[in-house]
Amino acid sequence: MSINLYSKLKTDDPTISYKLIELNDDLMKLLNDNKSRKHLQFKSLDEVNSHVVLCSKDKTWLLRQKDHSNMSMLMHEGVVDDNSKTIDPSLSFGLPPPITDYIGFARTTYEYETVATEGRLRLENIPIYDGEQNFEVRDKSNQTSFQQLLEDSPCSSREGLIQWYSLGGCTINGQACLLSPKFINKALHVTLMSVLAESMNLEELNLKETYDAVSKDMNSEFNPYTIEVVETILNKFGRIKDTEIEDKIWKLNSPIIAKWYGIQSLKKYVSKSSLPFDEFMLQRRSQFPPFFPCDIDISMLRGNYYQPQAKQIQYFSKKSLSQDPKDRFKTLFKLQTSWDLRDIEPFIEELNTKHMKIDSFIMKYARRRRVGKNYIITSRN
Amino acid sequence: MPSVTISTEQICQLLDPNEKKTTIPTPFGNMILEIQGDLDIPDIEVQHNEDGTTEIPGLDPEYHLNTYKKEDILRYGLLNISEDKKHATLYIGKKQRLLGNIVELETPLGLLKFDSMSQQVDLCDIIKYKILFKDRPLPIM
Repeated sequence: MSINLYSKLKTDDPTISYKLIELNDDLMKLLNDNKSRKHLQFKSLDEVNSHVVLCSKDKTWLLRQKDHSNMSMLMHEGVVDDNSKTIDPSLSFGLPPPITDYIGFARTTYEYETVATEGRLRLENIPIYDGEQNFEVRDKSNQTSFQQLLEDSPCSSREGLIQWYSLGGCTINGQACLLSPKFINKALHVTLMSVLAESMNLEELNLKETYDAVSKDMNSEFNPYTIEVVETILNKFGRIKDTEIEDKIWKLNSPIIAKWYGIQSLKKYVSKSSLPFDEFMLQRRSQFPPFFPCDIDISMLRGNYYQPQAKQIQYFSKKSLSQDPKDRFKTLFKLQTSWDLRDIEPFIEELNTKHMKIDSFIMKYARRRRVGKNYIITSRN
Repeated sequence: MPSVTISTEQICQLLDPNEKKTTIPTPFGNMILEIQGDLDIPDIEVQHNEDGTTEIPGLDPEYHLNTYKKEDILRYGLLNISEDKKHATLYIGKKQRLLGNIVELETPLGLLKFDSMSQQVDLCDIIKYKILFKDRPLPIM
């Protein structure tokens, strides 16, 4: 089969350009789904400098320009306008006459690679709400709704919503904001106390009934625990049982609540000096609302404490650690000379960007030895 | 944040399982021809004469001018694809030929059309094969 090859001489319309993009298995699966393919979107933080991401309804891919030394000509089958022009027979090389024409319409030396990434909400300009009465954005034109935040963020809508729930995102007077940890603490406690006092089923909470229970005994003129705040608490500490039905029902997640209370207890009782484990656990138990049913375990607080001495516990925030792995390990061994692998893992896992096996990653910077069934991590020095 | 929804209307037909067929050019008639190095195609404007003829001053007579949908195009070669659809030969002008292969892409490529005026992006095709010429040109004896 012989084909005449042509190329366009110059682009008449510089507004049109063509690019190639890798369609990995996830994207092909998505394109094969009638509903999902309608949600594909390119997003970037600004027009010029920032990375471009490709978002579906629930996933995000970073676009990377993959240059190559070859030239790819994109060609389209077509019939040239003047078919009567004869081509010199010496240019046919004895091959059968060409059966069709292909016209090159674009040339490229790169493709866009699509790398799965974690979409993140853009929270730089989102204010913190601490339960104050007069919460308003000074400049009304800068007011941001959650929908606007989602559109402005390099993430899919599902990823954005999950992060929003987990961070305690709320809308107060039309402004998207994050509840402060202190206010979340109070609102969670009030919500739990109220639903327990009303003997409500913690696995089947309805927003209206929960809000009614919370506002029942509020005497003050200003009640900061609005229905939006209660919904934020239910979203952060529970999950919607059936997203399809209109009247949503939440099931509270006891382990997440227990962890939240545990971290607050660490901050409250052992941030400046350590306590023996048993004593800390007693203090921790006393923080929960009476009759709140949950199991507590020290392991659920891993990544938030260290042991300055055996059987002693002290709060430590991961945020204060260096992003350099060497420095981070050095600081951790200064705090505690030997670590159980499971205790040190939450402090360093975010640095394992190449997704190595965690043991292998740790052994690049520290020693590992086996004691019984567990691994103990110590400094190389 | 600048964002644009990608229109996928054009490729619906490609993804219909009843319409699925695999060929070197896509069912929409697009294909990729990849060459190591570059193709030296004159990047100059065509001179349109008063008598309706067109020419490029000093153009090698091996090239033939024509138009496609009223846009100037230039014939630069002849492609021959073997019957088993595995090999291809590209003849450029009278003196050079390239031997190549039909390669199935590890990851299919989407063809995106960007229109900067209407700010529209269309995913207008999915390409699964390319014709790859990765060796140096051979002389034609």
